[in-house]
Amino acid sequence: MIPPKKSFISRLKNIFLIVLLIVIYIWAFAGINFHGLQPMAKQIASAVLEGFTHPEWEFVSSPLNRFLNSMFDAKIPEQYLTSDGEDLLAQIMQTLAIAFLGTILSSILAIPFAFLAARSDKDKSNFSLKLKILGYSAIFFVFAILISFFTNGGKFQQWPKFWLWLFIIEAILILFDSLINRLMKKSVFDTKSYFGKFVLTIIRVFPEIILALMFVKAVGPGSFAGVLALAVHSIGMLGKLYSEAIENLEKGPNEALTAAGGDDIEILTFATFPEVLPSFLNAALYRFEIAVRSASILGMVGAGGIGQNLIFAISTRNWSRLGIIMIGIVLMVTAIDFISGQLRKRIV
Amino acid sequence: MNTLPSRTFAQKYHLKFVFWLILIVFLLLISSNITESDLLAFFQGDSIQQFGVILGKMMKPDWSFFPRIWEPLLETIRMALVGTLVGSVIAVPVAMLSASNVTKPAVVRSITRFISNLIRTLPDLLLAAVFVAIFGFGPFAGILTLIIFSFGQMAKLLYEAIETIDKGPIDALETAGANKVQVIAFAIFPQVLNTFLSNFLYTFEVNIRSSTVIGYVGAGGIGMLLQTVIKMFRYDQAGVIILAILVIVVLIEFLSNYVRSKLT
Repeated sequence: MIPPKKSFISRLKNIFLIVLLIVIYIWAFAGINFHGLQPMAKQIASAVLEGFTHPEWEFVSSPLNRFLNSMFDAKIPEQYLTSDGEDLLAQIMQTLAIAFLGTILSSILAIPFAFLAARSDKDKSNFSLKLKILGYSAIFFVFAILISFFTNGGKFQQWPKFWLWLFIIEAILILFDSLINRLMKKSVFDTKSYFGKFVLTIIRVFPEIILALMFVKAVGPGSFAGVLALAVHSIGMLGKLYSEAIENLEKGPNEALTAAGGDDIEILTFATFPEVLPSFLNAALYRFEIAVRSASILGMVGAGGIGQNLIFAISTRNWSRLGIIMIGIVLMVTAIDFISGQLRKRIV
Repeated sequence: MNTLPSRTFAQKYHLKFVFWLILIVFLLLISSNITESDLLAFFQGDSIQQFGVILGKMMKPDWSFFPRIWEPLLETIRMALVGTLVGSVIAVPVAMLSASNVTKPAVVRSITRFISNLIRTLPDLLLAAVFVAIFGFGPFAGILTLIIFSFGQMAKLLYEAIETIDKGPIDALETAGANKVQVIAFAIFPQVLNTFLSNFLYTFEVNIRSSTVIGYVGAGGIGMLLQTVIKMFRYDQAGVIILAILVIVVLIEFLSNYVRSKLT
């Protein structure tokens, strides 16, 4: 058997792609400057390894330390006995609490965004529907202005203008869309869905650590800032996953309810919601796994959790404490991944 | 006659649902107690005002700052490219060792899987912070972080891909007397190539996103500039950087999604 002969063009295309990749990689490798490498790197690396192989076990829990001292005469030094709430277990509990609260909050907040971003099946060439959407976003826009009144003490600041621009762009898109519809009998943009996806992408890509920093400025350093940052940041990803779940919905129950004369709210509560709920839960659990990882580093900017101990251990070069913190984080993440994986297996 | 299907006691009173609801409410109470959260506090006082002030400053970007972000932005892309490539190349043998249809001894498989699982549990910023402490500020620490991160992810995705391949070509080659290397090169490799490329692009996507952030602890790239700017409270300049990150991430995600849809 002779393999089908590739055309000259397709071979050329492959060669071109490979050359392009090689050029990109030459550019990438050549452009990195390695100056600024620490001359002490070797010593520090061995010190870090030393710390990892001798983790500071006394840091784990101070009640446990007291218990060990009293029962087995373990001779654990005084400084480890009174650090309640500052020890590893307490910090890990705090981290988990931040992740849990943040995920719960965002799993609720993400629902409206998801319905906004999901592509709906309604007749897209319907002009009155588009006007309706414009009307809804006008309400949204008024809302944004109201919020900005509250945020800046009544002063008219920059970001209502941003919303105004968004609104104008959306209106132009909708009008353009219906114009195209008239001309070509085919929809180019699903404006509602594109707008929702645009908002979700902005939220998703906005660096989490900057968000945490902003919330630390707003509510002061502490775990609450971490909760808020996680709640807002998770909306981006959860909204995307939720909207995909809504788009992949089986149409049967919805149509059955419509046929039986159910109105919009009834369709939502008895057909749409029960059907998407497993996917929503699955996405929320998956996001919780990621949130645990995020919560353990948000402390670097003062948003609570184990991260602050970590950054403190690094800046004071306390490598044995860094070792025990890393072990704690690894165990915590593994345990949460396992539990969540089991739960997700049962849901789906 | 139509009758409803009979339900057990637990089903009738939704005991499972009630149990989960109580558990979640209980966990909520505990965690809000631990974190001292008070949602109302965010809307009272000047908290939300503070938040709005920062956001307002970011909303009027200082465009004159734009020329200065090119170099770090390119450095970020370079870091992601190099990190993804090196990490994926290291991941290939490890994935082979942890796939059950390539490696027969279960001990080897469980060891390599354990290693890649362990690596995947570590958050990227944490790794970056440790590497910065060891190697000093600069892109080298960032690249190391990305290498380890992509290694963990690629090893898992790849061994799952290898385990689901068609067994036919392997059997055929083995009957014809091919050795292990020949089986890998002519039966496994052609089958997983597309999946590998697709996963490679996905990892690159993730790396671009995290390389913009890991600079925040000093691991090079645009994140480092972002941190410098924020330390000086220049939120207008931070706005420019964040917009640039937004554009570059969305662009690369779009490109990678396009290529991946072509691949499969």
